[in-house]
Amino acid sequence: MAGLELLSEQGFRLDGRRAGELRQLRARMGVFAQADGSAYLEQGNTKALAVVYGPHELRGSRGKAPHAQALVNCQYSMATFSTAERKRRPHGDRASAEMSLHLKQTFEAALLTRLFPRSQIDIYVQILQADGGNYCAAVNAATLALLDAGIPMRDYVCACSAGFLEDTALADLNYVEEAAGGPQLALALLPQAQHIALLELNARLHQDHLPRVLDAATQACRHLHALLDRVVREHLRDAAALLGK
Amino acid sequence: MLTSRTFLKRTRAGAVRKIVREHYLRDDIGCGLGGCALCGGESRPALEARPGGAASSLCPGPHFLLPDTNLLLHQIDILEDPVITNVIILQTVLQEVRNRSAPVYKRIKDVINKQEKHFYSFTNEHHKDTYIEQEKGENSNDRNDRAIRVAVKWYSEHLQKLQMEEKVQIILLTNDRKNKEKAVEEGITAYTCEEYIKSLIANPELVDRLASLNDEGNEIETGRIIFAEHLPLSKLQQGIKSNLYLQGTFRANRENYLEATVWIHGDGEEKEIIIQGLRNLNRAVHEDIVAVELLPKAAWAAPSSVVLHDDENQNEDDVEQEEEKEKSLRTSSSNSMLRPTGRVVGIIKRNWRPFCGMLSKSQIKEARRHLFTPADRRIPRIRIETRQASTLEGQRIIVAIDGWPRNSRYPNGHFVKNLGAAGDKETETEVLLLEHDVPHQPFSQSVLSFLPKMPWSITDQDMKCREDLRHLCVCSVDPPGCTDIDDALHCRVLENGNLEVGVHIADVSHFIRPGNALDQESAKRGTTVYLCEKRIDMVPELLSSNLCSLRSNVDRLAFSCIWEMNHSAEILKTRFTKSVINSKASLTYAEAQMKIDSPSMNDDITTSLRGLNKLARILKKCRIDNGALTLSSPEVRFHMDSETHDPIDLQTKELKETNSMVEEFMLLANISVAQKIYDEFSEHALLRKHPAPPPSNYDILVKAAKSKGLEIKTDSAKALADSLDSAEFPSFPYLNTLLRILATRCMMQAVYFCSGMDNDFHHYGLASPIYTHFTSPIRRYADIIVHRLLAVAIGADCTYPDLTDKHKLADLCRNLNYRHKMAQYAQRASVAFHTQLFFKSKGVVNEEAYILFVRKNAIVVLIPKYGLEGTVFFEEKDKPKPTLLYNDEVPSLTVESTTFYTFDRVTVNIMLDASNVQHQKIRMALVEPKLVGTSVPSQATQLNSNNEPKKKKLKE
Amino acid sequence: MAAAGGFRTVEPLEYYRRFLKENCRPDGRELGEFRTTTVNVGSITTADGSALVKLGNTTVICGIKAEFAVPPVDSSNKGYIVPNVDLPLLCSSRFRPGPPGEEAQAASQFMADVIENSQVVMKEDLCIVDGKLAWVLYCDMICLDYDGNLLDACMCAFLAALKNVQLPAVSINEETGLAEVNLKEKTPLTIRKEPVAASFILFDSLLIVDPTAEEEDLATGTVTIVTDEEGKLCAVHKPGGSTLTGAKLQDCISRAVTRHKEVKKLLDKLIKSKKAK
Repeated sequence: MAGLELLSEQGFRLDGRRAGELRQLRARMGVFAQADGSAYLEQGNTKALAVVYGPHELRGSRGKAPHAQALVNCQYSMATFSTAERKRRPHGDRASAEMSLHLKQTFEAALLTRLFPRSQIDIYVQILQADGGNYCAAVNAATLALLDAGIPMRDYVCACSAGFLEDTALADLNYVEEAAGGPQLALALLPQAQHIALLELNARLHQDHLPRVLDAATQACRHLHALLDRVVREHLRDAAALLGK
Repeated sequence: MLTSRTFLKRTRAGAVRKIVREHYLRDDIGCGLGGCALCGGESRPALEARPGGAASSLCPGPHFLLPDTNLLLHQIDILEDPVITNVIILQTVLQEVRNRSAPVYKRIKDVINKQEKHFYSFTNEHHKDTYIEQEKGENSNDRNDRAIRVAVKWYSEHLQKLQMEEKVQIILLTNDRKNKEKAVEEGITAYTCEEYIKSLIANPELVDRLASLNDEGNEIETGRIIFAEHLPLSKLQQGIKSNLYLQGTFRANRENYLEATVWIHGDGEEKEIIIQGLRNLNRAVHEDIVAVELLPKAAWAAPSSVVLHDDENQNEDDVEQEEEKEKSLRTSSSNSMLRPTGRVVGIIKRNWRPFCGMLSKSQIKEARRHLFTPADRRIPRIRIETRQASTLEGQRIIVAIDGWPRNSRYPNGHFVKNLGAAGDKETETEVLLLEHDVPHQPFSQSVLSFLPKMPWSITDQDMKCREDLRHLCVCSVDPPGCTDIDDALHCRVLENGNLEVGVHIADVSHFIRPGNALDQESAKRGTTVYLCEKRIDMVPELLSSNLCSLRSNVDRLAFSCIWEMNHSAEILKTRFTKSVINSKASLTYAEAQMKIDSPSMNDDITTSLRGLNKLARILKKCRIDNGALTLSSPEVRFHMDSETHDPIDLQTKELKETNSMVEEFMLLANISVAQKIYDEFSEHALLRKHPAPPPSNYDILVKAAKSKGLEIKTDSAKALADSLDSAEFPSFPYLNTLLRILATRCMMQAVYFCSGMDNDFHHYGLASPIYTHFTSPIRRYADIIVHRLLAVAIGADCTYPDLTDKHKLADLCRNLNYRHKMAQYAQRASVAFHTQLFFKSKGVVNEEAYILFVRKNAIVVLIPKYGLEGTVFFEEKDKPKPTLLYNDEVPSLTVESTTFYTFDRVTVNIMLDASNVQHQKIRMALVEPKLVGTSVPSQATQLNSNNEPKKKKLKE
Repeated sequence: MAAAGGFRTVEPLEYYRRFLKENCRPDGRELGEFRTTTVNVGSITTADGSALVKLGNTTVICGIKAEFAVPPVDSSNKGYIVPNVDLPLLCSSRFRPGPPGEEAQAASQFMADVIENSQVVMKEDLCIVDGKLAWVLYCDMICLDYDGNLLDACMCAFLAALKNVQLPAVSINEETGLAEVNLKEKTPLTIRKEPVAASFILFDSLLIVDPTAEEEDLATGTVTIVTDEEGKLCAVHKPGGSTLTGAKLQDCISRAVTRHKEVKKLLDKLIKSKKAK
């Protein structure tokens, strides 16, 4: 049997997108009452839920906590039913721990943590359904949840993945494309200043190709920024309308 | 930008994994029509706005064709015909073809890329109006048929909306009865392929190229069922899993059409199963992947030694007669020889290709069904239907198999192409290229599109990462008439008194970029194939003979390997760089030799050559001291008539010192590069190795030398080289050459491999721990990869994923090794054919020959004058057999009272045997020494110089 | 507002009692009134069945995944149903990192007991080949927003997700002994009983239905009643706390029966609208 043709001669990917196109994005902010901020986000079939508590006083041991700024506490977990095969350990496994760390690093770069010394900001992300780009969906959902919580940030953090196939850079990989094993990169960008909050590349890629893949990911991030911004503005308008009543 | 995307989900569950995929539907997919107002015009319209195409009596107006999957799979020959244009290939169809037949998929992709064919592939599965969901109770075939019909309807509505002056029709081509009925019900114009092709007014000859496909069940049951039904694939796979059946490659027996062996694909252990008898062979064809069921031990058979050819005159489906023959196979077996025997229960994968051969015209006049006899004896005869039998008689033609019904003795096929008259030089060349699977079609448009645009010149961009070496006195030395010059040399004295030597190789990888169609085609071809009078280029001529050829007095891009050496040829420094050179002279070996030898000449080129020559001598000596072998194989060169291109004389190639001078530096460059790329890419270097032969291979050489009182040591390459050097026999000077020829036959094949997949790198013949090919990128693809690796290693070029994927590299090596082997065979076949032509004009001659091998019933002789090798048989059908006594120890063969030993001098009679047009042969008969009781003409014996497997057997 | 907020924080009991005197609760509900319940099924396509239930603010998502397993040795004709309730950090700031807490474990056990006792799905229905192959239904309930009455929400999400499950037809190939899955034929589960839970808190000898998290914290005891569609009891769960008279218990049961009708109506409507699509 012939393997999958990830990019057809006509320039279409398996799911019908062209190389640079994003999956459909849908998002809602303020989905939960208990939390200080929350958001639900879908990037294609990847569905993520982010909840923010804080800033509140430090919990647990104070030894590790930084003095002059807020402690960013992240936890990433995946629902057991989120993947094609049931996950035995929804959180606490190594991949989730790494993902939690990446989220922490990403948001430490974006949050104005110096405004909240001796306090803590919790960011919890739950992946309800996974179809590639889990990190990116987690970052985007967390950004919306932080905005919902009203925690000051330098800028939005927009994340998108990109891969490289047959001399073409593909944006926003889905699971099939990720599983194909080519080089892939995850980029978290502060779009207005074009600052990179986090960049992770796996599989080998020659440095000469990096600019093209990076460029594809950057373009995708900026596009995402526009989409997220629209979600935020619509949410604000609705909230304002409710208050007006 | 896409504006609206409908969102659908496709659920696919495997085992209990639930896989969910997104499927976006779009509204920005064009119809492919030139200047379509509705789709906003494609950037590269594929379909003509006013489709031309062949005039058809069924649909006189302009029309587009839209074939379904089965039609595309089976009638690709028709679709490739230049007459058929303006065809829409749906994505649904393309994907099904991709899953079912890789070769057809490749062919249709080539056709789509040909602009003049006006084929358009429409991505209907992602178009919002043409995508359909599989309905409940509908299988995927029915769903795809429906998708095709929906697309046809969409097209016809689309064309209507365009309101063109002349109404353009869209025609569905399908051979599926049900699909066609449904289509007609839905108001679609649909024809079978046959109907349409027959309606083409101006092209009646196309009908012959139709694949003969009988709609199963439609067929009138004629005669009885001969073969057992093939089991469906799912059953076979289960059976293989549960060890009920075995999977293997079917290898038909060349000499006996009722016998075959199946090589079982096992983990490591090679197993062979014998299949005997028509029914057990059950319609498997050579090279098919089949499933076999083992027979009970009682029914096991021994490989038969009988030669059985499917007779020419037997034209009936006479199965009874066949059964008689099968019995004769059985009785001839002895119990100790029994081997596992089985029967074919099903076909896992057909490996049918188009076959060359000739038509055996039916004896019945006006008959339309005829049998076709393939040139390859392992392929069964094929029944085809044609009206041009009388025109095709005596022609070499190509036929493709379409199917093999259970009630037919022979497979059914269709005529594809007429190559020309048998025996004709052009035709025979074509045949040998096809039979050796040498890709030789003209380069396709998509391949040519990646060539640089002319006039070409070196730009500043090109000069980045490149050294300007145009000031150096570089020259090239090649055989006369060489137009693809891939190497040039220079040598100069440095200020410190040392010598600088440069080997400059054409920078082919500059022009052939990874992954594009040009690269893929070159990778597929793997090597340039040199036939006696023709060259099949690996890369298009513009590159091979012009831009990449390092001709004199033009600026050319090169990849240079530059050493600093002292006068004792020790390398002090090695560096590699991409460069620009300007060769000062393109010399032949003879011209270069003359320059070196004439004391009056003292120009730059000559000094440079002398320097090179001096160093080469030292290098060669070092190499030989290290144990490199100098082997010999008789190489023949034809002197061609300049008008007719017929060979008028045969001559063995003469080697000059300059040959070895160039060779020496090429070897040095290859070794230096091999080391460099291995240092840089320990896992992904493409290298070449030559394994040491197992000691038993040398038996024949040692024994033969012993019979002449000489000792050959074979414990190491060095010992072998030394003992070959000392094996002189004053009264018999040619003996040394003979020994070296024999030693060559003991060697293993050198092969390409990927360093990450192997750990034995040694090159036995060159006595080098590491080796690769770097110096001939114009004619070998391996060199292109090596160039790319080296370029990455020195930072002159960028890499790409496949270059550092060792599995992909290993696959590539496999193809290159295969192509090199086939190229070698094709070359030998070409020499054999020209030898035949030569003896045809020369008539019968007597020549002096030496015995190379002694066999049980024959001797193999070499005629030094022509470099020709042949077999003299002492047994022949329908003749009284002489008493033969074979001694394996010596070895020697005693015929009647004459005993033959290896290296004996004999005289043979050479003539052409043209009794079988398809398999012409050179026959050899013994003249001297005379055998008692037999005279030369009646003792006619034969030589199979063109019989490849014979040769292979000899070598192994 | 500010004054009321402060009062609520400092004297929560007193604050609450004042509301109850007026026969209503701080969120405006009567004592016997459930919060607005919404159900959404099939949103997680990677699961074989899924449902999202909101009971006021309390949100629970249930995803069911079916896998193959060998039936247990002692009852070779049965499959498995494995429920699990997860209370992740994100659902409330009251939970702490670490292994599943008491409440989550207790809820998981409660679900397992109800499944066992109510026979919601006959485990024999999950057997494919006696002694060889059976389905395991992993029913994972994740609380996404915690605002009291976890058990009612979990039970409802579980039932809705179960109704959403579609299993492919499976046959055993006799020659290879391997399972073959027919993807085209998918059938829903046979649901024998439909258990629905109703929870109450005891507060000053009052019975208050569907408590919020705040109310649960103030309560002196809780009762959970699970009934099926015929009004039969599937479980009565009263983990300690203040005592309860028989008459009060009877009140609980009759309220639970009406609750069952409400939920069933909701689910039936949902299933109907799914089918219509």
